[in-house]
Amino acid sequence: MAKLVMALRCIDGIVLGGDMPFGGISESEDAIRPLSESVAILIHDDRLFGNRLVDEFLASSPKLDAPIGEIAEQAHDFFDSKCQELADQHQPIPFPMGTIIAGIDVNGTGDIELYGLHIGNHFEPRSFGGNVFGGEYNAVARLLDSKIHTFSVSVDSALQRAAFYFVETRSVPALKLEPSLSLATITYSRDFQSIDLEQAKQYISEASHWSERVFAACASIFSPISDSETKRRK
Amino acid sequence: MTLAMALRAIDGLVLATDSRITGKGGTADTSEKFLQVNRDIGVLTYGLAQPGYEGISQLVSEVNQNRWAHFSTIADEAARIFQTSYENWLERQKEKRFHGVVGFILAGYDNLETNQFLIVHYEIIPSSEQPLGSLTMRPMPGDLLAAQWHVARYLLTKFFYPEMTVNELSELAVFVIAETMAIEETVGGPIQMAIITQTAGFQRVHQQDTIRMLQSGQKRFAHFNQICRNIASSNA
Repeated sequence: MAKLVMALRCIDGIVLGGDMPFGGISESEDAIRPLSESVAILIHDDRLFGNRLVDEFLASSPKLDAPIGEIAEQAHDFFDSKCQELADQHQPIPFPMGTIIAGIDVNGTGDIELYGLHIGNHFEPRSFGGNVFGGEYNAVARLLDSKIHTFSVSVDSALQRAAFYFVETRSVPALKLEPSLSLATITYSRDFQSIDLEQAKQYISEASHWSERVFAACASIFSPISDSETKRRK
Repeated sequence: MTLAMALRAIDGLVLATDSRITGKGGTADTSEKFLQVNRDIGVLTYGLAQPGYEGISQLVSEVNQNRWAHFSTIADEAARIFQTSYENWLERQKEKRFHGVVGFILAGYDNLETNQFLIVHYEIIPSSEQPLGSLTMRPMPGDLLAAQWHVARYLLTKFFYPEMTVNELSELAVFVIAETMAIEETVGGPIQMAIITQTAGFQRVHQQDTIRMLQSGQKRFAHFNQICRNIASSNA
């Protein structure tokens, strides 16, 4: 399962993130899959079913050098017809499940384009002007992003923010994310790049320090504990 | 959906919910999700608005008619009433398809048997294969957050402390619902709230008091925003 995936707009590209099992997984099972050098697809909730759909979509030879809006339309047509086939055969279809198509639109506008395609909406592409979050447990990330998001953030800084959103979501025991974080970037200068596991661990480690500082700073908002205690916790 | 919560303070319970109803016809902030059952007990509902309201109204009506006093009796009868109300509602629908989840929270002080504050959670989760669904009933030893609960649970892990009184916890509940409203389209409208204490029983918090809590809480919203912004900007 991938219960939290995200695509964060930056001044120099996009940061992509998604929770994943400990120790990593094969590329064909990842929540983040490159479609071309400048476009990727993120799969949320039922990662295995989603990857199967993406594999079949790629095997159908879609036109991936098209503008991103057209790629999203092709994915919509393919995913929706596949699910309709399964429904006709009385096969189980997972719910919720969805994808995010994110990239730099080198064959269209030249800008960053983000589309959400959700099974509840028959994979109808929905364009997003801001950041996009998917997965059943994305609410905490959206809350934090609504407070700290700026369009002028760089990819380097946004990687740290993605890890922070992941760590904060994971801090709620009932929100059962996978224990690791898969990260990737798409930049104007270097196209799609996966972030290796060791580096992702460093982002998570730093995000844990952020998390501790936020927890300490929040202590005085409702609690009557003394200022000295607050300072001690900081 | 909605955000419904029953929280335990050191001296009682805080029950709170929003008032948004979302459906095919659009959104309205007029849903009554909350009723007083007797002196010490309240009930709230979330999910499908109409069968939810019919369920809690029927419970209040039957408790009054039958003069049920024990929490355990009311809790057991509530399971039957909620299931029957849902089935009756479904019977009236043209389509016997999957309409959605409906849930209920019964909470109050049990002054006849256990002398404790009790919270019971009921939920009917139908599916396309089983439109009738089946009701689950679970006593909750701790707090209960239902429906759009993720942000609320996150904020409670940051801000709740066990010594909170019902008055302090009411302010936290308002804070949590307001933060949830800011990012969830299906949570909104006036906040409905009640507190239950051993001495005063069920007391509805007036609308003007929740508005006052929202106003006096603005410093807290600003403070939390600032903490989040600072942590990101100091590391940018």
